[in-house]
Amino acid sequence: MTAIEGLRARLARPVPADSLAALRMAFGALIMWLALRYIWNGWPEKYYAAPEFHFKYYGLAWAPQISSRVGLLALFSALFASGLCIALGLFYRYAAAACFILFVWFQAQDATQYLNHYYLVALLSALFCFTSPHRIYSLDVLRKRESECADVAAWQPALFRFQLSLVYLYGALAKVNADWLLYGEPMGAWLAVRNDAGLIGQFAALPGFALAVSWAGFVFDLCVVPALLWRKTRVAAYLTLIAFHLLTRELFQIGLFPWIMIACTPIFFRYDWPQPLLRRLRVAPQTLRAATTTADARARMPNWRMTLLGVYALVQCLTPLRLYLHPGDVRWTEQGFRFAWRIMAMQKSGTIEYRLYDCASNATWLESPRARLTAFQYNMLSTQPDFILQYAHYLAQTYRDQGRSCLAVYADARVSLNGAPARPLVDPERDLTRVEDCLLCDRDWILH
Amino acid sequence: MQAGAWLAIFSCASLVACDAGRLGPDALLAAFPPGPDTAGVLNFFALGFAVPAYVDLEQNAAALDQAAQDFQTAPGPGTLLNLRTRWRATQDRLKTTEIIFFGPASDSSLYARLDCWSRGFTLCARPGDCATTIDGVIAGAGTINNASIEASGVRVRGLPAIEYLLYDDGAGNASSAAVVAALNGRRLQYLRAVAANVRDRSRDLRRAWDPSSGNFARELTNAGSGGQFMRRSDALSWIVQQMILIIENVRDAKLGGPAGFTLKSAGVKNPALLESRFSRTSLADMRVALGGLRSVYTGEYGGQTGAGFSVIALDRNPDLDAQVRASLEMNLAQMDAIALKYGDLETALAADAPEASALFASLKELLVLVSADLVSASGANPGASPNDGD
Repeated sequence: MTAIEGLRARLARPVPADSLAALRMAFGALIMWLALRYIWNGWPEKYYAAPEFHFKYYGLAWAPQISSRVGLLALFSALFASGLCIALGLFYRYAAAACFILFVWFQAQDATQYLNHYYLVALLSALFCFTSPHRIYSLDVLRKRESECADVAAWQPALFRFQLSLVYLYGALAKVNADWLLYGEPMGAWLAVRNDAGLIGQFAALPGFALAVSWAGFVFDLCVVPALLWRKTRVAAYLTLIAFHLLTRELFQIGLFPWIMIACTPIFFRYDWPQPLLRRLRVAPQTLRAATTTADARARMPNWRMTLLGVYALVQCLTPLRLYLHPGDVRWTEQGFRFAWRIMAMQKSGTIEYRLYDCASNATWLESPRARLTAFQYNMLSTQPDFILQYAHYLAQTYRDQGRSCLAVYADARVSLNGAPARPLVDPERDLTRVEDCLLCDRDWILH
Repeated sequence: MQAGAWLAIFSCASLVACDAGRLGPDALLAAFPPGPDTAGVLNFFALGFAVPAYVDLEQNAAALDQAAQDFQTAPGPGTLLNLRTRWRATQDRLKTTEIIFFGPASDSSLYARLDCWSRGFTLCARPGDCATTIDGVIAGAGTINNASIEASGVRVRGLPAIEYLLYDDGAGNASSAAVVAALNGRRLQYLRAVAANVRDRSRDLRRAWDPSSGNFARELTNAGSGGQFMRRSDALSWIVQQMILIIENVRDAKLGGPAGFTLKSAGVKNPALLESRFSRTSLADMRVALGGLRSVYTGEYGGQTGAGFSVIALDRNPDLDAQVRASLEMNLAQMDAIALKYGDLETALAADAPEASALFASLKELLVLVSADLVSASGANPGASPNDGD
């Protein structure tokens, strides 16, 4: 038997569906929580309806912009409903598809709102569309819309494990740089203003403490997945994971990220880990399981499915590595920064203004993006070159619409990375109206 | 068994992590350097700067209102001079607090009711400026009193409205004689009403921050213990954001717009965009606003000292702290030099003074130091989205 055949057999073998069903419930609950937070705090209006201009992901500019409050409310309400249905296993297939589409649509509204864990949610919601965590413990089964099946093919939980593993492993890779591992930055900067944070705050100013915390974060990211996979260290790894994420939640403003990881990583446990819990809760899964069918243990994984899984895994492995196709430090150029799990990897801040030259009137003036953007958008713009280019094009178009057809737009962005002295991020003498962005090309207008 | 042991270790570690900050042995903690006094920075901002600055503003606004009464009692060049002096003193106190544009100042629009200009609204003085103007109201027959001013928009009230009434007779004449002659009847009534309104709104601001009344100061002094700021670092980030915005406002709105450097004038010099153009004291507005930033940064206000934001910069990067201080002083000195050479900003801009361009460039360097270097070094997160982050 070849290695591929062996892998195929391992991925096709039936395993208890309990842990996947638990993941489905947790994920649905998280989606509900996420949507509720947005609605409750009025964030859809603040971040998506109020701004005059919205930044777009490359290739996703076609996604319809929702600018009305009612429309945004409907989007988040539908997202909440899809989360509820996923959690309950009700109309599961439709709910999973709706969740994926709605979440990606929500993300496409404004790229300044990009977050690594939102990208993770989008990927997980996509994976839920192609797996069957609803064949057990679901209303669809109770309603006889789906035949109950206590097992799933092993590739299904494996896919989620693989996806979650990448977050930590590439998170560790993002920390492999001199700032993080030799100087303890930006941790030192972050801890300097968190000396009110319990025990860790007390030690924040201790020489070497920030470096120790940096190393601890790196080692955690690097080791937690193997430790979760190995039965003997699993419990310790998960408890450490909980402590780590609760600590980061206490120290930093990272929203749902800790809860997502805490809620999703039990997928690394035994496939039937919920059963003892349910037994203790006097829900008798054995009774349920006795009545269910099981997957065919001799089933072979079809070639097309094996190929699809391989392609997906390859894309996920290679996407974060695309940053090596570009020259310069990714933390500075941000080429290949997104979708690469570079979580909490740097402290970057800056200021930007545009210089506009109207060759028809020979007039030159400066324009601060604050005039048209929210404070949050401004902060994202000031340090991210692709946004700087997008906004330059927007300015040019805005003035063209006002009759200024001969216009050059230059950007003066000064940025500091991890406490280093600020320096220009993009070429201040490059007319950005003459620059076109592309997916993998080198942005030679970024100053390295 | 193994799970139980790990659970016990985890529980103990969590308890220690959560409680040692409060319960840990003092001797152990005293062995470690405390780091920057972040609590002191917030305490100084709230109690050493904001509250005393608002007390000063309230007192000066009351004196301004009294001066308006005195003028009504005995109109003449002497009482007008007193009135103008009181207006400038009140304007100085307000400009000092321009950096505190959050909390009651922004949430209740209290600041905009005192100073529409700094919030991006030009004054509606003469007919033609807007649909409703100061001169239009004066020429009309409607009631003019504190309540009517309170019900009106921000563009016909506050200290800019008082400046217009004190430095313009309604026909573009700023001479004392012309203004004294014009300042009677409904025009004087309008002045009295606006002055009373400025007094009341200044009092509202002071009360909103005062620990004995509204106590918004508590949001900062107790940051991280509930309230608006979940963490102390969130409050510090807000302060940095105010520092950045005040530099931008001084550079772009107070200088760049009128000088034709920025968007507002699209490359064309426009003295009508000057902040205090009727009294020709726009340079003083800039200087005092930047002085507010200096107070917040250095921890010095009204002869008292405390922990300014400087203590955080000093802890992280002493060179950077020195650079920020030097840049602040240099900008203030450049403003003084313009005053010395040209008298006022209006004259300097009319003469295309190279000093104005130099000041504009120098303010940019200060902006870069604060918004890039200081933010990066201090781990602050100004303008952050309150939703999420990673």
